[in-house]
Amino acid sequence: MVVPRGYALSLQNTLLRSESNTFYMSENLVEQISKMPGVEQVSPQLYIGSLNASCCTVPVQLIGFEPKTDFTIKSWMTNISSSKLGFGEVVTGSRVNATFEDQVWFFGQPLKVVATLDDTGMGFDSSVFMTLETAQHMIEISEQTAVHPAGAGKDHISALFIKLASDSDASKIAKKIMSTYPQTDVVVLKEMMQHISTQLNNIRGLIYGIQGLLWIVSILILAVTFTVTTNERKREFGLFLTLGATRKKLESLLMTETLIISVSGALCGILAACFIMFEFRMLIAISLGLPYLQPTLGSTIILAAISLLISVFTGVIACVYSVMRIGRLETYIMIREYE
Amino acid sequence: MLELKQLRRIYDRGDIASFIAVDDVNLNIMRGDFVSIIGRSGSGKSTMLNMIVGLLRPTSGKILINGADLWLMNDKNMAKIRNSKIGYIPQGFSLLSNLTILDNVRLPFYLANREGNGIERAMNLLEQMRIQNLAERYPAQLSGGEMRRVAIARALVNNPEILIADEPTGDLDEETTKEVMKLFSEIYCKGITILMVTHESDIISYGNRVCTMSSGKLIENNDHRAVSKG
Repeated sequence: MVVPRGYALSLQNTLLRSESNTFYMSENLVEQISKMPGVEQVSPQLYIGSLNASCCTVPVQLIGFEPKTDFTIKSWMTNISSSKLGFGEVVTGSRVNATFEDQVWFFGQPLKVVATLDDTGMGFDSSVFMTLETAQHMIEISEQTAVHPAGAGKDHISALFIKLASDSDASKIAKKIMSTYPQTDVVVLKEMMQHISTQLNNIRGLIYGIQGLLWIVSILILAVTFTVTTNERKREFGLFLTLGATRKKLESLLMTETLIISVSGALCGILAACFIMFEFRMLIAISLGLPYLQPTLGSTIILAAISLLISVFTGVIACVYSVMRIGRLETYIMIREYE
Repeated sequence: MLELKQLRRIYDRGDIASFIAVDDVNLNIMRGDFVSIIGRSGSGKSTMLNMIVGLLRPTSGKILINGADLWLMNDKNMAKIRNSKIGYIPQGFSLLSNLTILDNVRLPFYLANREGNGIERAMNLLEQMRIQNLAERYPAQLSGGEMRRVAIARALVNNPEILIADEPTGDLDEETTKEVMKLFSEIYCKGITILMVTHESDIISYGNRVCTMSSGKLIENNDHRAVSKG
């Protein structure tokens, strides 16, 4: 991906984090770079930051692309042919508040929504896609209120996406582009994905570590709580034995109590987690600063079931010591406190 | 029906000398007996009672209930004896504060997994104890005498063969003591064997046999037996 010098990070943020960015470079680069050895295909994109619009609470990124040469955005549009995207028509990201055949307004200009993308977890979710022609028209419209840097002469693009021939070396071509066109930066997709993957792996490792630690702490806290509680209730348990309960019955009573507490606690926790996960999904996505895809209902149910099982298992493990201890105590010792 | 043979319990008190709480006690209680055991605090009465109801393991000796050695039984059989053969009234207040009076009374019924819910039986006993109006109350709302009646009703809910009471009037005033002992007399008249431990000499006259416990040794007072029977 070729962008104006110094805007490599901005492009990443536009693609991954829904940040609205506008940067421009000469359209001549499309032809020049397409002729370089090892380059199979090039496709330009034009980014426009919207003003406040009816669809959205924050400015969204308008992305103009060339349907004939595009090989990036098309892959997200399985149900429509991007080559059929006409002038004045747009495809909206999943977080843009518009549905099929709605109209969205930008710079006072209505645009017809012909499709809405599924969640991608990336910047595409807050973007609106249109042809390069429509995007250039939008720039002209926007110039009615303010001068647009890409307005004069219609010879600007924001980014150039390059597909390399299979036997090409991405790093070498990137270096060559940057040395030939010093006004550009090149982002190699593989390197970008590796960087994101490393970041995600680090976060995942941290989360797993914290989860493990919390699990051990939970077992210890629950074990102490159960021990203290059963100690406080020794008299009650002793009374049960005195009145004819078997030790097995007493243990099963304690286990049943533990299961009820564990299941109730787990259900409360799962409900709270679901509420936070769905109600604050935008905040989570923004805070994370990484591509974030909301779990589907199916995977949420599976996660909830696993959480429930782990919680119940944790409760049972934590309770075992208390149950064994109570089971071993002499009944007289248990009821002695009221004698 | 209940026989104690050479029953002994020694408390090991670590660095100081061991303490013999119950010292080779022999006692044979027949069906229909009302045995009162009197003795000062620390004489070993409660220790002996706790061994009889299966709460405290004897150091040596035997406790035979209808000929079967209680402490040779497994947990299940011992629990069955405690639940259905013995009605035990522990010392002090022994009700569960989070259960209603009705639920407290039918607790032994529930613990034995019997058929039915025991409500009718429990209400019947509360009526006999003259506290049926308190069925839905909680222990904290009852007086000491009322709580003791509830404990007696609970001990009787599974129709035990023997009622064992540890200081049943220990912390009651004179009038309430008389009411409680009157209930014991009524129970005794219905043919239930009673073994009662007390330190109050005033109430031993309710029984037909009196034993004295002193320093872990049990001595039967034959004069009282003669008087009672006579």
